[in-house]
Amino acid sequence: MSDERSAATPMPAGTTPPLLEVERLRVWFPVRRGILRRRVGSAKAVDDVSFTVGHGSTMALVGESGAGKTTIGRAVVRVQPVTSGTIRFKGEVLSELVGSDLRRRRREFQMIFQDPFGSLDPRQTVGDILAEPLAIHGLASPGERPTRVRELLSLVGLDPAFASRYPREFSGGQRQRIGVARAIAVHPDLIVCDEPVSSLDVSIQAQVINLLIRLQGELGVAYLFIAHDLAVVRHIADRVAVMYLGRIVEMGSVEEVYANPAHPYTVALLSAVLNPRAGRRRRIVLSGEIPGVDRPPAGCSFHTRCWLRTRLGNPEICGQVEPVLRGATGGWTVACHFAEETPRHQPTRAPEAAGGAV
Amino acid sequence: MVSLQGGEPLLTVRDLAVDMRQRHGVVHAVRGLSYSLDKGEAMGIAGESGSGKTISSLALLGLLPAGISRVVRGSILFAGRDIVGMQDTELRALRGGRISMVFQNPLSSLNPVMTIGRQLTEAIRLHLELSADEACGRAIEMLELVGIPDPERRLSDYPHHFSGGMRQRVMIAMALSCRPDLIVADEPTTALDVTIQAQVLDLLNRLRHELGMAVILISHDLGVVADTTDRIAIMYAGRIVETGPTRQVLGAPRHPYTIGLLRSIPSLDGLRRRELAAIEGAPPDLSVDITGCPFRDRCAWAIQECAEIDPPLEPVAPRHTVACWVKPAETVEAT
Repeated sequence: MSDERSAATPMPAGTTPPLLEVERLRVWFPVRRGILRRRVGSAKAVDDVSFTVGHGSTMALVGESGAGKTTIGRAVVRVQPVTSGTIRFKGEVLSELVGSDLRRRRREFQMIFQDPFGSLDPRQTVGDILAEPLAIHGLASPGERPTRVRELLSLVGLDPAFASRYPREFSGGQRQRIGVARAIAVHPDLIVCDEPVSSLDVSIQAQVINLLIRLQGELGVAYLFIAHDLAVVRHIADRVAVMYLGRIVEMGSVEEVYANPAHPYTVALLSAVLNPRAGRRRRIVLSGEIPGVDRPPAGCSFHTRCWLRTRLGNPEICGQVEPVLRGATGGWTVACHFAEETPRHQPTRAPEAAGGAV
Repeated sequence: MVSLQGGEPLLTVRDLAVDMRQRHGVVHAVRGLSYSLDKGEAMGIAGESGSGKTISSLALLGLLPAGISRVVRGSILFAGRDIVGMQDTELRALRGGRISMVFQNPLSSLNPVMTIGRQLTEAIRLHLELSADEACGRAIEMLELVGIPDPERRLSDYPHHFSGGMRQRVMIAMALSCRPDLIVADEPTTALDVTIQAQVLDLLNRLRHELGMAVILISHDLGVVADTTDRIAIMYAGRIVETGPTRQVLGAPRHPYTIGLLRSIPSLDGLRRRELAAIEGAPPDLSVDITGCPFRDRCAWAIQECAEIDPPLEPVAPRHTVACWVKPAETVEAT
């Protein structure tokens, strides 16, 4: 499905390809109804998504339930089959890799999960958990492994003596550190982080965020960072893609997108971030629910909840024509017919503004 | 900010202590909690896992799991009567009547095999003397109030027909249906997406003002508490370490733990990628008796006294009290 494309776009000589290139990725699930469970359509969990992640950088995917961000992360580490599209890692199409080539590449991309409790085998000691990937990928001889395990533990800020303990003896934050240690054990170039701090208490969350930023500086690892917390994403990421119902609706550098959001959904998400120091702030309260991906609204899938569309007197095009990602004024991309109107219509973001809905 | 009203407060919790039996022994989950709440006032109780915020609120609803945890000391006066030691029948009449609650996970608090209409009308008729028709009318009115479209038709739907945000609205409708004096909301928006959280918080804010209820909002999210309450209590290791008007406590915190919490939260306007000021270490083991301040091992300001005597809550400003021997006046910069 992708050979043509990879043949058609050869890399110019002398340039290194981005670490990860996701091109027109689709992950569709069959929707079955009725007694015969006949396939009546597709839930487009991920639909036509393209982005890149540069070496040593952090790309964030943000959005709410049903946005498709976790599915993308799973597709990148090859635990989720894709419907169509290409995922290239260091210029090689991942789906074409087999045998030893795949095993070699597998080491280079790792994943950290949201639930530090569910992702560690309770019957293995921490030492075994960390030594296993070293053995599988032949990175350390049996004699070297204990030393390497101790190094890994101190690298993530844990006492090297913890190697003989079991996961249940650790707190959530410590377990997440073990998850990070396991991921970096094999010197990956990319770690897919799926909501790595969202189940942690805030003071512990800060410890793990600091750890991820420090390791990136020390090891040069890139992150595909999946999260719903926009403040955390702003803190850690270089670039951000905002997703809604399986599609990217806005993408650009964190500075650009946060300072001048062009998609009305991004504006609403940013206005919903609660800042304890700012007290009650003016925010955009979207009406209605997040629709299911099996029945996305026609046209722009956000139009049923869009505050900008209401302000503009409900233009018909929003319910009829699906907007494509296009360049916005500042060099990032946005999928909205009326992105140019967003700045003029968004409410003041002054934190001291009077409370209540807009 | 709500000013202190004359007369009796609606709720007075005095020196409450709750023990919990766990595998390794008894945990002193709440260790001397005192606060009071006026009519119509909204107070937030914030703290991290294990701070005792949820256990203490279960105690004031008389919902502590029997045989596992119990009140060992103190009193909870609601409208002049002590909830501690109240008989089950009295407690049941109070809950859902003058006090009601909204929990984090609406699906587990609703009966999955009963229609929303039946659950609403049963709750209403249990506490108010209304006919079946009147109760039904009241149920429709409540669903309308919380913004459920087409409420008459939705009465015959089951909980699984509703989305997460809608279920939480149904829970709020149920909690409001008997016009309670107090709503206890434990992490009411934690399971919801941010745009849906914004809807539910707005709803709670609006209804509280319209109906004049008091609210106790329990949350680990200081942003949610800041958005919804007049007053805040920060809990640590089973006790309040700082309390006062929400804007003031979060704007000019004086307890090292509050300062640490605020510094550890990334914001939308601070410096990017700088090191967040995490609070190193972990909360103390509450199964052993603690001498001195429970936060001192994690505290940059700790002095000799902190190891010896547990600091009492002392005023630093009108209605703003802090349990700390040092009470550092530090500005919390945006991170």
